[in-house]
Amino acid sequence: MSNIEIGVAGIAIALALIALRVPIGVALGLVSIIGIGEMTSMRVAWGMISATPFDFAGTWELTAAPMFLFMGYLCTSTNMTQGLFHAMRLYLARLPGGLAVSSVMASAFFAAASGSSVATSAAMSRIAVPEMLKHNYDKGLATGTVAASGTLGSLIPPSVLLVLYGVYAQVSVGQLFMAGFIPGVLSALLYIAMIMVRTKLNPSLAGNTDVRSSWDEKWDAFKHIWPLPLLIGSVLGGIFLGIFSPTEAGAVGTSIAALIALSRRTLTFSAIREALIRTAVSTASIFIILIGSLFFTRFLAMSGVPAAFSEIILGVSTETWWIILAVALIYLVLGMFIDSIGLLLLTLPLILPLVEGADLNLIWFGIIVVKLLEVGLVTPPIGLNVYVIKGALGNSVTLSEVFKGVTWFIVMDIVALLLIVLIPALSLYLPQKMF
Amino acid sequence: MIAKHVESLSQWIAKSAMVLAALFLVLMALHVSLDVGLRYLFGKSFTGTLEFVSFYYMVAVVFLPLAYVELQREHISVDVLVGRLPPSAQLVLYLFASTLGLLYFGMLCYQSYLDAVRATVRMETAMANFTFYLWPSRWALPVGFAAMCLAILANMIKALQQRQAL
Repeated sequence: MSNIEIGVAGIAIALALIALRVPIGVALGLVSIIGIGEMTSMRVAWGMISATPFDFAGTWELTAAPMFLFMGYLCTSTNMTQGLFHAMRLYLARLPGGLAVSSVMASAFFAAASGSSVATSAAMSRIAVPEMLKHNYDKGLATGTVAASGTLGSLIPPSVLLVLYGVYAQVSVGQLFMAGFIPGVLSALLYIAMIMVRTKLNPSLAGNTDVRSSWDEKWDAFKHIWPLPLLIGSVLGGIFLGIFSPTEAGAVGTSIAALIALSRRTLTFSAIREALIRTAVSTASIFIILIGSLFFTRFLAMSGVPAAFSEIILGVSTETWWIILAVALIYLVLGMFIDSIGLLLLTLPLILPLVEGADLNLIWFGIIVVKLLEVGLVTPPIGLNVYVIKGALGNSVTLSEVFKGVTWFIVMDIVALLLIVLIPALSLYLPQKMF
Repeated sequence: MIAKHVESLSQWIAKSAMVLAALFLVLMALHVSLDVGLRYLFGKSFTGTLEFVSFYYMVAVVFLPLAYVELQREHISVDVLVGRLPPSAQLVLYLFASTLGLLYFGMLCYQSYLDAVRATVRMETAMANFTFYLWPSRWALPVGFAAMCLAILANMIKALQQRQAL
């Protein structure tokens, strides 16, 4: 077998193993070791095992990943995220579709702090969906809002996906964070606009929202929500002004979160313990995939598959729109089966050489990739977020109701994607302004 | 009888390693925050923050919790297809996946053990403008991987006893 054939066979076998529920990291790593042994010798394969895991784990920039996870889990375990929906509801209920608009806003803050789309949808589906259903909201609108809004977190910084992309593509994580901000906010605004237009045209979608509240109540609610905007603001502000690097920002954010929790008397031993365990578990399981994916990168590079793949794609056309369309198709197909972090690490070995070959801006492209990954979380047949919501709500909604409700949000996502692709300044303006 | 021992031993090791990892997480957050604070307020910073954080804390945080992840079945894998198969097929596939895991982490454990021994013998240091010993953190890898293999084994035994995939 030629090296290219071994490479293609390796990709097929790895995907087949993943489909058979072999952990993604194990499938990628094992196929790569055997493949490299087959192409060269086992000595080369052992050399790779010896060098890669330790060197990579000891990368300074990657320390941001566990620290941002820690910050996020600390926010949830110390109840900083609880009053969010309740407060937004008091402020925004008078808008058309007010409860749904409140859910989008609350999810955006929650997701920015927690950094996890799935965790956001899971939490908000327990808080916001029952409230909307109680006020006779359309089931599709209620669940679709929460499923889609969870995905806002990976663009609005800080985002673990962007940290991983930055280290992998060797571009500045700080610039990626700044680049993600406007597209993330834009996506949220598009959701809100769509909800308001739809409920204005068809008021029955939004049932009966008659939430009146006094100024006292509004002020009282504010006491519960100030921590998150303060935390996110100081983390982003510090990075933007150059007080600390994006790598240090996670640790600083964790300390600020701990101080805020301390001042609100919610920093209990069990809250810290829970956040620590979740952080360690997430970190280790992400790094198993990361190491497997690094092995896979070496294996594919030796086989020559990425170069051949780039040649085929660029042979059709070197226009930017075609390259992005080709990448989008890959993510759309694979995104149906695999969650975002796994998919990102699985595909970068193949896609980065293509993007570098076409000389596209890697920061701008990173934002496009992350947006594509997030759309994958809500598209059928798998759409992880949709399943999470169905799981949280049990039999009160059907799967097809959620998928139907989410369709309008996917349309908005496509609009957002087109805008990000057509107007690179949306992503690239803020990074240029950075210190 | 032996099965019970394997399980409780594996749980004990996984939990101890987890406690260590958690400790290093806290150290990481504090060390970096203090460094940033000192630099901002006084324009000074600790020597070797980067080395301590990436080579000691981070390596421990990445590799020590592996066994805990396995025992809690928190691996990132794809369930959609297999979830629809009959239980007996699920068990067979589970044992197959576990065997591959055992093979993979066994290889990683063996090689990283050799590396750790070699690093210890020559008291390996990192490239820095002060003496920073790298070799102790090399041991996090074989320890983490070995605990992982034991955890996979414990899970396989449990699955066989219950006659169903975990």
